Amino acid sequence: MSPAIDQSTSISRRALLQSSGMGLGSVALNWMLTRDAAAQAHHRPLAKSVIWLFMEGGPSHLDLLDPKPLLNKLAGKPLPSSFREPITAMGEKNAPLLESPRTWKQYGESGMPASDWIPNIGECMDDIAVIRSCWTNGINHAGGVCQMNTCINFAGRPSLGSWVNYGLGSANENLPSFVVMCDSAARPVNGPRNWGSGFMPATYQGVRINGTDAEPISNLNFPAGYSGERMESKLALLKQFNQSYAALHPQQTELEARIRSYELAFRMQAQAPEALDLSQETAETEAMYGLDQKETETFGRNCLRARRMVERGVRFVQLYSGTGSKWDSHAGIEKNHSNLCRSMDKPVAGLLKDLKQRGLLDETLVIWGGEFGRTPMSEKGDGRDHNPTGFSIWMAGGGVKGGQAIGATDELGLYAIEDKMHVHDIHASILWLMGLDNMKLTYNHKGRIERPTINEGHFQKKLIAG
Amino acid sequence: MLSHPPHSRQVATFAFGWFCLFSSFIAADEAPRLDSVARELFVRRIAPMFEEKCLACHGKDVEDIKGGLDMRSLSGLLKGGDSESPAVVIGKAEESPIYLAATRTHDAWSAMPPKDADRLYAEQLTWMKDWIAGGAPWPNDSEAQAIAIANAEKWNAEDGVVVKTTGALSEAWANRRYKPEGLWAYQEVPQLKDGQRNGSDQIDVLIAQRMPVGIRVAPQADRTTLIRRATFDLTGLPPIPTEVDDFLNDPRAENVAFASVIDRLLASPHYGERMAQHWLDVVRYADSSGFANDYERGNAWRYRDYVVNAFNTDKPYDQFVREQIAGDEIDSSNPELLIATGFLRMGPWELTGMEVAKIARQRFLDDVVNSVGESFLAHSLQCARCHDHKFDPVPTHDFYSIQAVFATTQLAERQAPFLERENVEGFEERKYLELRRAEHQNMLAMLDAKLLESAQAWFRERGLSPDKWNKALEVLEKKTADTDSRAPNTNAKRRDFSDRFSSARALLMKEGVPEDQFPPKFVGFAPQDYGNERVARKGLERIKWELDRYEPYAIAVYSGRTPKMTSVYAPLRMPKQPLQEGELEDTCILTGGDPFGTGPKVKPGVLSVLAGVQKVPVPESIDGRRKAFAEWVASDDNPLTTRAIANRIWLWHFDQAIAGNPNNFGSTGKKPTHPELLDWLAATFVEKGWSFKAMHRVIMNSEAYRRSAKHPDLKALADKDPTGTSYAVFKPRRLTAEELRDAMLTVTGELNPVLGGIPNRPEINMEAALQPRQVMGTFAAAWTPNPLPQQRHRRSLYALKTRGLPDPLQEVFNAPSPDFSCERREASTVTPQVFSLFNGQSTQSRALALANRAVKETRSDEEAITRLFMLTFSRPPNADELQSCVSHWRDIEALIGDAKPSTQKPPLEVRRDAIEENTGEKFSFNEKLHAYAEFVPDLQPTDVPVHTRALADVCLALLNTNEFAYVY
Repeated sequence: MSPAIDQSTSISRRALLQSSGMGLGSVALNWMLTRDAAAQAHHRPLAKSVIWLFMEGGPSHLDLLDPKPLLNKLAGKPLPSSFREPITAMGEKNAPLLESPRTWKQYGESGMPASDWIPNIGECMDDIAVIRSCWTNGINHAGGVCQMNTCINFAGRPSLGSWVNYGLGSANENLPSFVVMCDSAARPVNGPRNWGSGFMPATYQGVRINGTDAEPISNLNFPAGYSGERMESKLALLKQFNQSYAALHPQQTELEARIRSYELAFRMQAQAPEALDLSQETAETEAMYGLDQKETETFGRNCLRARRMVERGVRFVQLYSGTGSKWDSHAGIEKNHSNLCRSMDKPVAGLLKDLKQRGLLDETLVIWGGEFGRTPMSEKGDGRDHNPTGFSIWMAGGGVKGGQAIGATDELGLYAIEDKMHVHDIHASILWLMGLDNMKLTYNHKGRIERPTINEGHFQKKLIAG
Repeated sequence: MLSHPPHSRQVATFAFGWFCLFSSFIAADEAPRLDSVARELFVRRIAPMFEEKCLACHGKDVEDIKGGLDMRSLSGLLKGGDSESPAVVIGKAEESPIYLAATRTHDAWSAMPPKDADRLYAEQLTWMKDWIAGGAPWPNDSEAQAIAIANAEKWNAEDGVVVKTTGALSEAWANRRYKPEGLWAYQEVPQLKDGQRNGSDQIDVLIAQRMPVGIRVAPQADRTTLIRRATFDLTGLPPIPTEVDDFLNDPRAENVAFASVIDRLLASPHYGERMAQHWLDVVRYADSSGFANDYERGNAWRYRDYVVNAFNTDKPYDQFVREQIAGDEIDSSNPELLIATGFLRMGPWELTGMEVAKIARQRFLDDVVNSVGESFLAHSLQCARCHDHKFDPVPTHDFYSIQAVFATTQLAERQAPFLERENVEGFEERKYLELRRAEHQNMLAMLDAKLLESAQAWFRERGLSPDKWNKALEVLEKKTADTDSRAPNTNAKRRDFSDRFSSARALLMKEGVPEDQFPPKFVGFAPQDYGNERVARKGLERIKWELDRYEPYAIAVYSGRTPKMTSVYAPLRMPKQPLQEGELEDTCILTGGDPFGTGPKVKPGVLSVLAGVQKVPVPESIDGRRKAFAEWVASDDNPLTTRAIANRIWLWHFDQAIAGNPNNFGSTGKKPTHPELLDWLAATFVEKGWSFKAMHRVIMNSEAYRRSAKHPDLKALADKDPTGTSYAVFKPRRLTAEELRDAMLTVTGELNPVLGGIPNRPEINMEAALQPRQVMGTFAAAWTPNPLPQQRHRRSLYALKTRGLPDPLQEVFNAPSPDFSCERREASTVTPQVFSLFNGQSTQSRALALANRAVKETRSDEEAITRLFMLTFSRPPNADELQSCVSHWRDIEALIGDAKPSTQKPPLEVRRDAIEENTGEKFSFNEKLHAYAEFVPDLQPTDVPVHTRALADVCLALLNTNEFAYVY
C-alpha cells in the first residue's frame, strides 16, 4: 500500500520546504493549488477521462437494455411467489407485472440487443459493454443518487469525481478537472453535494458549468457594468499590495499561492468560454449530436461540450439527463421514456461516434446509467417503481471491451443474480480503468484511512477481458 | 515512547494471553518436525491468525464446516475440503490453495476470507508463505506453550502490550498487542507537581524542552500584530481602530498591557460567539435534518445560543458535558438543560415511509454513540460497530454498551419556555410563512371545491344517486361548524385545510358503502391539479417545521420506551406516557452492524479500557443511564476527556493541535508533538475548575503565543523544524469563511452585533438561492434574504444552516459540511475563491459601504485612504500605498465618469418545472417570494456620488488582499 496522503501536508509545509530549497517560483499551481505530489496513477491507465451520462430518476433497464420475454408472458399477473418479496419505494410490490411493449433489435457483430427507444445507441453496441447486474442500497432518489456519486447512500462522503481529481490531478491548469452539466435549469436531487468533495478540501469538488455561454461558471466574469480595463487595473493594484506584503513574510508561501490564484482565475476566465464555444464545430459534427433538432439540441450541446472538455484534459465530466429526477416514471412510462430517450439517444450515439472518429474513445471512458432501474411490477397502472436490486448501466471506451453483456438479472429483471456489481464494484472498476486502485487510493481523514469505495469493491475484469 | 509508565489499573500487560485458544486445535502427531523459525512463526502468528480469520467457518462449528475444510489441524489442511485437493502443499506456498485463496488474486480459488474487510494484510500473507515454505510445522499444545514462554520477553518487546477490555468477540482480539506509544491517550494524566503551577511560564518551559537544538525562537510580535491576532482569536472579529490605539498607547509593560487586552476580549459577548463556532464545528450544527426531506429544525438555534452563552458565562466544561449528554435527566424542569441536549440531536436524521423504522432508529443510535465519542473522548467509535476495533482497544462490546446508554433516549421537540437571556426578537417574520401557508391552504380549498364539483359530474355520468354522498357532506359540514364554535381559536385538532372530498369518502367507506358507489380519489384531476395538490400538501408539511422556530420548544430528548413510528412528517412532541408505551429496547451486539442482528445482550456501560475511572455504575433503569454515563465522561480522572478538550483549546489558539487529530486519539491519530505540554494543560484545566477563560489566559500570556510570525533564520527553521511544530515562530492562518465575512461587515460598519435568536438569511449567490432544490415529493422553498440590511448583516454564526443548501461563498472558503464532525478547519487556496471574492456581488456591496464610510468620516482623499487602512489593516498606509491608492481612485473616477450604474430588482417569484409523479406529465408552478416584497437593498452605487463609487474600487482591492485575509 502506498502511504496515505496526509491532508495536513498541504501547501504551507510543502511550500515552505520548496521555498527554502528552490525558491518561490517552483510552487506548483493549478486549479487545485494544493495538489499533492503523491497524486499519480497506481498502474497504467486505460482511460484518461470519464464522461458519465447520468440518467437521473432511474431509467428502465427492462425497456432499454435487458429484454425479458417472460415479463410479457406474465404481464397483468402478480409477481410469482418463487420470487423473494421485494421492498419497493412506493410499496407497490403486489401490483401486477407490466408488459414492455418494446421491440428489440440485435446490433452489430456482437448482436447485442437494444430496444427501439435507443436505436442510435444500438448502432454503437459493438463498442458498449452492458452491465446487467448492478445493485445499490439507495431506494429513494436522494439515497440512490447520493450512492451512485459517493458510493454510499448517506450524505457527506466525497464524490467519485473528487476522488479521481484527488488521485490524478489536473491535466489542464486553466480548466477545472471535474465539471458537471445539467440539461435544464433544474438541479439533481441532493444538488451540488453530488459533486462535492465531502471531507476532502473543496479543492477537489466538481464545478457546475451552467447552460449560459455568457458565464458558464458562477462569478467567472467581472461584475456587470465593470469594464475589463477597470477590473484589470484593480488586479494590478491588488498584486502590488500583495507583493509588498509577501516581501515582508518570505517564509509564508501561501501568500504567493494566493497571488497566483488571482492570475490563474483570470486565465480561466479567458479559457473556459473557449472550451465551451461550439462555434468552432462544423455543421456535420453538430448534426451528429442532434444540435439541429429541437428535442436533442440541449443534451447534444452538453455532449459536444463534454468532448471539447476531455480534449482539453478535463478528467471527469458528468452530464445529467432528465435533471431533477425526470426519468422517474411511476406513471406513464411510455410517454416519459419516449421523450427522454429521444432527447438523449442521438446525442449519446453522436458522442461515441465522434470520440471514436477522433481516436479519443480509446482513452475516454463513457458511462451511461441512472441511480437505479425500474421494477417489472407496474405502478399506477402504466408506470414502474424504483428497482435498486437489479438494473443495467453501460460503459464504452477507455479500454472497455464492447459488444458484451456482463452479469444478468433474474427472468423478470427484478434481482441481479449473476456477476452482481454493487455500486462499490462499479466505482472500483471506473477507478481501475483510470489507473487507480480503489484500495491504494487513500485519504487520511481525522486519522482514519478513507478509501473511495469504503474498503469494498472489485474491478470487474470482464470489462476488459470479455 | 510513553512519557510515563502505564498505569497498572488501566492497562495491564500479560505475557501470553492467547494460550487458551490452542485448546481449539487438535494436536497433530503427524506434523513434521522442521526448523524452529517456522515453528515459532506458527505459534506467534499463524495460529492466532487462523483463529481470528478462518476458524469461524472452518472448525469452530463442527456441525457446519464450510466447504468441508477443517482448519483445526494440519491433517485437516492436508486432507483439504470439497475440492478434494490438499489446502496446503508442504513447502510450496504458491501451490497451496489456502495461500492462493488468501492472496485474492487467483482465478481458481475464490478469495478468502470472503469479506473484503477481513482480507489478510501483506504481512500476514508473508507469514503464511514463510510458514508453508518452512514445512508448515504444527506444534502440539505443550510444545506451543513452551515456545511461547521461551520467547515471551522478546515478543512482548516487539509486538507491544495487551490491554484489558471487556467482551471481545474473539480471544485473539482480546489478547492482541498494542504498541505502547499508540496507547498514550488512555494513560492517567499526571497530577501537577509543585513548581508546575507557574501558569504561562510552564508552557514556555515545556515548549523549550522539545525545541530542536539549533533553533532560536522568533522575537515577540509587535503590538499591532498582537492585538489583531488576539481579537480574531477570541472574538472572530478584527479590532476597531480605537482599540488598536489604546493598546499602542498603553504605557505599561508589554505583558501587562497585553494581559489587559485579553481580559477585555474575554469579557466581550463576541467571545462566546467565536468559541461557539468552534464547538458547533465539532458537533455538526445545522438548522435542518439532511437526507431526502431536509426538514428545518426550527428550534436548533436555541442550542446554538446555549453554547454561546455557556462560553460567555464560562460554564465549567464538566458541567457543559453533563448538560449536553444528560441535561433532561439532571433537571427536566429547567429549559436550559433541555435545550442543552440538542447536542444529541445534531446528526442528520429522518424517518420516511420508505424506510424500515428500526433501521432509522439504529442510525440514530450509531450516530449518537460515535458523536459522543468523537466530541468528548476524541475517539471515533464507529469502527467498533461491526467488529472489534482494528487498531484501538475498543471491543464491539463497548460500542454496544455505550449504545445501551442511549437505548432509552428518545427524540422530541420538548416544551421549554423562552429564557430571560434568549433573544426572541424578529418573530414577526413568521408572517411570510403564514402568507405561504395561506396560499397552500387556498390551493387545497380550491382543489377540494373542484373535486366536489367533479364528484357531482361523476354521479351524473354514471346515473348514480348522489344522495348518500350529499348527506355525508352535510354531516361533515355540521361537525366542522360545531368544532369551530366550541374552540374557535385552537389549532389543536383542526386540519390545515378544507378536505371535504376526502372526508366524505372516508365517511362512506366507514359506513360500508361499496367503493364503486362514490367517486374515486382525485376524481377529475388534470395533471396540473395533481402537481398543485402535492406542492401545497408537502408545502404545508414543511411549514410546520419552520414555524417551530417561534415556539417555545427545544430540540431535545427524553428517556423512555421507543415509541412505534412509521414516518415522521412533523416535529415530534413528548408522548403522554413515555415510560409505559412502546418498546423497551434491549441492546445486543449487532453482529456485522446489521440492525436486525441478535448477538449477545449488552448492559449499559462505558469504555472498558477506562472502566477504572467510573465512579457510578450506569443503571439499567429507563431513566438515569445518560446521567451516570456523563459522570464518567466528565470525571476529573477521565484522561480522554481532559486531554481532548485541552488539545482543542490549544488548536483554537495556534491553528495546530498538539495531538494532530483532535477527534481521534487512537493509534491511527497523530501522536502529540508535546505530550508533556498536553498533559500539563489537561491537569491545569481541571485544577482551574474546568474554566475555558482561565485556559485562554494561561495560553495567550505565554511567550509562545506572543511570538512573531517572522523568523530571523528561515534556513535553520526549515532544516531543524521541517514539520513546523516547534512553536519557535507563530504560525499565521487564513481567516475562516465566517471571519472573512464578519470582518468585512465590521470594517464597513454594517455589522449588526446583536446576539443570538432565530437564524437570519443573508443574501447568498442568487443562482444558488433560487435553485430548484428537490426534496421528497416537492421543491424546498427558495432562499429569500431577510428584508432589512440590519437583519441580514448579522454574524455568520447566525445564518440559517440548511444541510442541502450551503452558502457557496462560505463553502468555497472551507466552511465544513455539517454531515461529519469537523476537528479542524482546512484553509485551501483555490481559484473559485477569487471568483467569489473579486467578482461576486457580496464583496462589491461591502466595498461600496466601506468607501462610503471612509468618505463620510474624513475630510480629504488622503485621510479617507488612511482611514481605510486603519479599518482594514489596523495600520496607516505608507507613502507608496497612499500614493497608489489615491492615484487609482482618481483613474477610476475619470474612467467611469458619469456612467449610470446599474441597479437590480429582486425577483418576486420563481418558476419551478417538474414531472408530475401521478401522471408523468410536465408540470410547473410559480413560487412566490414573499420576503422580497419588502426588500430593502444594501447601499447601492446609485445612492452615492461617483467619487465614492470610484473609491469602492480601491476598497475591493483592499478586501481581497492577503493582509486582510490572513491573521499574523
